[in-house]
Amino acid sequence: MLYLALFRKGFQRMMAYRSATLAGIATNFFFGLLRTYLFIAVFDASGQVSIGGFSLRDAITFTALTQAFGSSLGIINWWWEVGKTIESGEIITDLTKPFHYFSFWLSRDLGRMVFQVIFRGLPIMIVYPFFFELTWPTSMAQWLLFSLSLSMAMIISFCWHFWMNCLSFWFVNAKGFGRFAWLAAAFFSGFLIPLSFFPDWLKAIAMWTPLPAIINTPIEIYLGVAQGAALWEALGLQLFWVIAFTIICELTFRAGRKRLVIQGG
Amino acid sequence: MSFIKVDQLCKTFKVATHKRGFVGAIRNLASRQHSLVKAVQDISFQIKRGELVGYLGPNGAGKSTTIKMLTGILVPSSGQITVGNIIPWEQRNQHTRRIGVVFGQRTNLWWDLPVIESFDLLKYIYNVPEDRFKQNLKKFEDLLELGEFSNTPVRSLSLGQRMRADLAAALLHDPEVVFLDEPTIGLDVVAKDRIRTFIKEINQNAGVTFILTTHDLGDVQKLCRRVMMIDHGKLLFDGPLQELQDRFGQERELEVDFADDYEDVSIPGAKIIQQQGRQTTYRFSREQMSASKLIQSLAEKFQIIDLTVREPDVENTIRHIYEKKLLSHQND
Repeated sequence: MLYLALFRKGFQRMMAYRSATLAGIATNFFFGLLRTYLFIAVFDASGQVSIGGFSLRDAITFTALTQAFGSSLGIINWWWEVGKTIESGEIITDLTKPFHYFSFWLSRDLGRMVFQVIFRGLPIMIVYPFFFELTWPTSMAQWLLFSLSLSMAMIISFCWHFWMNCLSFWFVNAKGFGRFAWLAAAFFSGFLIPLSFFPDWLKAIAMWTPLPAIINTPIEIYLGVAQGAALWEALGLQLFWVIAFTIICELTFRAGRKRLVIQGG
Repeated sequence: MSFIKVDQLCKTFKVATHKRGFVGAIRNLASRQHSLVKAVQDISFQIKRGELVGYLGPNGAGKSTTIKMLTGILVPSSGQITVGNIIPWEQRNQHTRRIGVVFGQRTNLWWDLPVIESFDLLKYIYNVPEDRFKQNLKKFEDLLELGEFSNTPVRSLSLGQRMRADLAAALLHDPEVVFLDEPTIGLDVVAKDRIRTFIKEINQNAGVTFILTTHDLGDVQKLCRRVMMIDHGKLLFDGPLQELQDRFGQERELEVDFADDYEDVSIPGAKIIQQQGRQTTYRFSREQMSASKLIQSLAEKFQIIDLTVREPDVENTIRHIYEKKLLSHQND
């Protein structure tokens, strides 16, 4: 099946960049250390045991998780593959082939994401405990729910990138929007600091976007910050975004293709 | 029976016109003015299955726009296209399965995958049965000598290698019609030749219909019996290459070796373009004088040892047509 093959190739493709993977792990880990000491300083200065439901150990685990999965979830690196093919006009060769465009790139990118969860994420989660004590999920169910949430986060992250890439259909230099989108994602997803640390009004704004579903939700599930009804609500919201954002992407792509088809590439 | 039918095809693009200067730039922000560019105007033609047609014209003539409409990427402003009873932009999915496309400067392959992996993906995209895929791959590997680089990532290929791989990629799913947009652009002589031989082979043995745009007249000469010429969006000529040659390739040359030194070897109706010892080259126009007439009048006056008639080559003919705008004058 095509989409399975694409997933496999997206995965394989990453294996070609072994040194980049190693360098990535080192960088992610280094920045993880910096951010960890920042949190230690913040907790020290505040004199509080818990901030926004996070203990210091949770906060350190938060840095570990974000550093481990940030690249996979497209927060650390911005993705411009589709935008590039639109800008260069190369997209027209793709449009002469019988495949579903969104699914094509989603499958490919999921291959990359899964690779990076395994080969960039897990090493960091293995190395971290040698330096700091981390919080771990307390039950098998929590592990499973975290995995489910992480999977949905991948799809939403892909949608965010794909959607922004599609702006290239309308704007000659859409990369600027891309950069903005990247910064917005780093902030509003709860990557830089947990959303629980935000003032309520800012958090409320963030919650209207799909961005928290990319980072904040899986991490709160992992840490056990989200529990009971709140947990199911968070998962439900993620599922909503998976569906809604996929539809939005498909419609945006169709509109862009229509424009290309009428106006030429 | 016509396989491809194009009827009164038109494509008009809206282009934003920018006012110049500082004040102009501000006015551009406030209101965009658009002008209409007619890229393709009222083109009609029919192509039979198994034909190999050259689609010629200067840059910006409307060649690529026509190809894009034939492949279903662009929707015409008016007019009709059917390819084997399918309207390309309406039954896009069905259409894409029966066509192969190579846009010379854009690759069909995935940049950082080895060539063979791209082929493998195409197998899935077009649902090519495994044995058919292997058979085709084998055939193309032999004809195009792909073996030497099939495990190399596309980004590391030379242009000639990439183009060979691209051609194979466009044909793996046994398309009925293949569109080639400048397939030999930027290639060296050997690479060009290999690609032309391949196209010819596939056209003749597999009966695949080819439409190719090119600026390389070697392509035309080697491959196309039929040429269509377009300029300013209008189809100006559609017929055998020979006819184009006969109509516009008028200047022929005659090289004569005389037996003696003659004072004056001029002949009315022929222009002397080169004189070297006893060898003289005349240029004469097909319309004004036949070769036999010229030779006859020379033989009456002088003693001749040897002579050669040189036909104008396609390259010169076409340059002549482009530069003098011979065809557009006729139609306007």
